[in-house]
Amino acid sequence: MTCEQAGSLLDAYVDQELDIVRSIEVETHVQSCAGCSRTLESLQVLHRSLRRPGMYYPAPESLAGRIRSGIGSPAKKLHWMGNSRNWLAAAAGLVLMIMAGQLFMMRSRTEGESELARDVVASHVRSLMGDHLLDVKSSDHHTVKPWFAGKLDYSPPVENPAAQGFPLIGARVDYLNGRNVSALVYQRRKHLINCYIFPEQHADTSVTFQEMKGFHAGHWWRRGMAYWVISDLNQMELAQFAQMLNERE
Amino acid sequence: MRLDNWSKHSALQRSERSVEFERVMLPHLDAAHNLARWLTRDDSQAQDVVQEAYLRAFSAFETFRGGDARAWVLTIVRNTCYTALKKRSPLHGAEVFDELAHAAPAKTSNPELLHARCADRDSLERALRKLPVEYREVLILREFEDMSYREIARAIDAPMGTVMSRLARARQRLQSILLEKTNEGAA
Repeated sequence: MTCEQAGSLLDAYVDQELDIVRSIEVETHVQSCAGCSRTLESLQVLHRSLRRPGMYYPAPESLAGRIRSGIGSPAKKLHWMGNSRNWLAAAAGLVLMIMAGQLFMMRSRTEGESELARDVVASHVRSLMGDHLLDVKSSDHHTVKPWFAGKLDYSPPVENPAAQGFPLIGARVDYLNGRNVSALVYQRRKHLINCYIFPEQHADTSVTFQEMKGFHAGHWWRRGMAYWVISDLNQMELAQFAQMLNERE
Repeated sequence: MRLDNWSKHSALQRSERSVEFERVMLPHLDAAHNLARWLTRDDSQAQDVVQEAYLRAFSAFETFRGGDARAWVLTIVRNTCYTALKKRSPLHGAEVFDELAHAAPAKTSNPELLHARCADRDSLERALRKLPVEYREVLILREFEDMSYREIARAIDAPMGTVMSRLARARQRLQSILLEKTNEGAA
């Protein structure tokens, strides 16, 4: 056996993937070859070092629990699974999540708010799935704002923080909470952000964030309008975007 | 997909499925998490990936026909990692991993120095993370999960020859990285 032949078999030898005949041939060669002996020793050093327990990352305790919740284990059922209407809607949402390759985590607060939050997520996913993301494709708010006239009974404030890296790319009319609402679509690198704005009497608030089914969302009220922004963009940048909208004018 | 079946199945059948899935797949959660942790950036991303992978595994549970459950779920985990990394598996996507571009030049071995450099756990981790993910992956499956060449080949959907050459190059490259002259004051 030559050094070249032995060299090509050393990894398999260390991994115990060689048959007995070739193992013995390798061993015989190595015993009489200093170069190959050192090469083998290096491989064994790596092999032992990588297998030290400190290199292994077992799962944290909480992860098993979250997975059980996610698959709807009998032990830890989410409360909405009992209601058949919500179950179908949620199951449809779940299939869409899997198709979109998104996570499945859910936190809700008040009953009404969580109902709306789920609508926002469903609407967002629908807009990304089909070809109905935009009815009007324009970055000019002078085009987009008047476009809503005749389609909605209100005029949403339209901002375009393109200079800050969140350009408006267009808009559409969507349906939330039982009514037609404006959906402004922004882009941040490859991420799309849906921004829903509709009239709602409420004191002005700062932005509240939540994570729903793998998306990050923020909502607030300002000057008689409710705002929801949702995206797969990371929380930090979505927060920047939300703050910008909440501070304009 | 499974939507029609979902609504038709009784609640009892669904819960039986969950129980069976848990029994068969949850024991491999540590392996899943370890793989995800090494293939992705950080713990948060790793946990997200594992949750998503297990959800996908659950919805595809009918396709598991018995056999090695760990290999089955780890395949789903690694595919989910690649999606999260916005990379495609070399055989399926547009991006093909250029094997030779990453191969380290042959060097004379220095097991003593290598041993000293490996002694520091954190430098070993740093060095491993410097490897291209395709190299790191086969090393993790081999050294951390003790998978055979055949099992690795199935998990990464590549021929055994590729597994063997990739593993050899991964180890050469790792040694190169570990033996690099460093000004970080290491041994």
